[in-house]
Amino acid sequence: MAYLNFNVIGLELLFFLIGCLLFFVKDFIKKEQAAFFLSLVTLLFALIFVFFLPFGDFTQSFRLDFFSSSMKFLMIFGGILILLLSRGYFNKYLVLNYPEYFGLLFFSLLGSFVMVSAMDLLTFYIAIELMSFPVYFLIAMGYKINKKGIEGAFKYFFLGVFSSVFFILGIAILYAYTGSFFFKDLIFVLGKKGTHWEILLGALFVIAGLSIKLSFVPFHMWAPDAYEGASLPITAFMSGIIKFSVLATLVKVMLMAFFPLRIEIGKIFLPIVLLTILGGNLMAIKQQNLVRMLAYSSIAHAGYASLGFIIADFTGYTFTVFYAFTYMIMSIGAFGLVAWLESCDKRLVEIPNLGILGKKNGLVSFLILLFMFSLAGIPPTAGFVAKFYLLLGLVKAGSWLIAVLVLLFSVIGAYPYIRVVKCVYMDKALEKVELRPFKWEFWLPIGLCSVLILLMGIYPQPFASFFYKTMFLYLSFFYFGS
Amino acid sequence: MIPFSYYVILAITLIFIGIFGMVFRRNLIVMCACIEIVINALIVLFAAISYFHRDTTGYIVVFFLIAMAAAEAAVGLTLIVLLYKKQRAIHSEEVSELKG
Repeated sequence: MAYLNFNVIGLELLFFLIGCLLFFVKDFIKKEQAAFFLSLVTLLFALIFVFFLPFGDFTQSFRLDFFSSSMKFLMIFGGILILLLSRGYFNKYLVLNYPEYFGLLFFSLLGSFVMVSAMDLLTFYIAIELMSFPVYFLIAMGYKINKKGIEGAFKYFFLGVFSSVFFILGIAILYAYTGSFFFKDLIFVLGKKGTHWEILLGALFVIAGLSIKLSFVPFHMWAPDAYEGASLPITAFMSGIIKFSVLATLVKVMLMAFFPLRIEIGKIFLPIVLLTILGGNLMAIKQQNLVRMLAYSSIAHAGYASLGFIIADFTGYTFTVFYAFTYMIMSIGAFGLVAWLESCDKRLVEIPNLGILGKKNGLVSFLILLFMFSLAGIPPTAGFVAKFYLLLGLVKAGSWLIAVLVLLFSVIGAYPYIRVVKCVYMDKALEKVELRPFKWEFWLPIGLCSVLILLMGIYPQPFASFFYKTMFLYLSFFYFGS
Repeated sequence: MIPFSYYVILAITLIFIGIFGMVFRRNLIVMCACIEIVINALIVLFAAISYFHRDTTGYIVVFFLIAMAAAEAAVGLTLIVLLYKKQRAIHSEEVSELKG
């Protein structure tokens, strides 16, 4: 009986305890902002605390290593940005300021932490559920300011149930044919048995389950509705952190469990990814609502990020995580700006009404320009570099036809973003709208995002090599055994 | 002794019944019940695999799945109650402000 190394799960324990505490913090402290400051201090503490946790196993199904702890670091960073945005958003919508909001956010983050360091498919499944259940309620909380909240939550819930059904079915098939669902057993058995169509079927179901969370095209219907129904910081949370954590975990699963099958799984991914990119970009074109446009763009971006699975080697997976991180930063920034616009006036969320910004607020207009250029993939922004890396990887892997297709799709996809920029800078101001001051709760996270975007766009090498190094340990693990 | 394939057929039938109900029924509570059917089918599948492979891991999964099914029912019913209180809607056509 191995003894349990509780130091390894220190971060999860911290989040669990503070998350529980947040639910009844209002019984101790009557201050309105107590929950916000408690969660902010905890996240800032956790940002440093991650560096002091020892690597190791907690039973066989949980492992803290360099990859998972660096992913956790990035997620905590994103969580801080979301928290600040929520604070700014609550200045307008005070009705949302419940301590439970922060508590649920903490539990969702806890789920994504467990997910990144899961070492078997069951823990992975439980962690996905732990990550998504709080989000259903967080979306439904948006009902206070937006009548579509509960409906969005409902759609996400039903699709989430479909996702978990597919996922468990995949686990069942894999379990029936390999006799285990620990990653280390799976990789061993798959390496020995080679490719069977049953095992591929299981992998397909697992991927189908995850692709609902990533909103790939056959299962993308929930995304715009849930994004529109939720309050905007939660939208940023869903499209940024949840997609990032699911993609990072999918990369880990591909490396740790399905590595012998990576080529075949890449072939499964190919049509899904191409359809996702095309569909997301095409449907983004006709949207008038900024949130819905960004929601469809988030579908397309999940597709771009998954191109790394088609490349199917270490550099491809590195670029996937790099793209996911870039997209996390971009989407938090973009949705943060939309949150500010909505807290000024609800009409500003419609794209044709944006004309007033260019005249009144130069800074916000410039930030919108920056984020839209980054989402469209125009240099010198991070969006360009991340896309460039992925296309380079595709060409190097010999699938230049896919690279050309993706390039064409991303040309289509540039239109909605450029249209927003055009509306901001060239259109006449249609309506009289009072703008609120751009306070620190907004400019601090959005400014951080924009600085990161420019930094990654101009000098991407350290970031890319950082992500490569996080995966390098798995490379050595694979070659030299464990 | 009942062979393994019978269990698989039972599980697949139940899964299809459940998914059919989730897709085609319009009453939200019935849809929640269909979720339960699907998850119970998966429980049967896991128990059967575990029994025929002489491996106890599947039984553990069964307990986890029972707990998850309960949690999913709780979340779904909470949302349904909320929806009924706020919008007086119980059929999925009545909840269609968003266009998907």
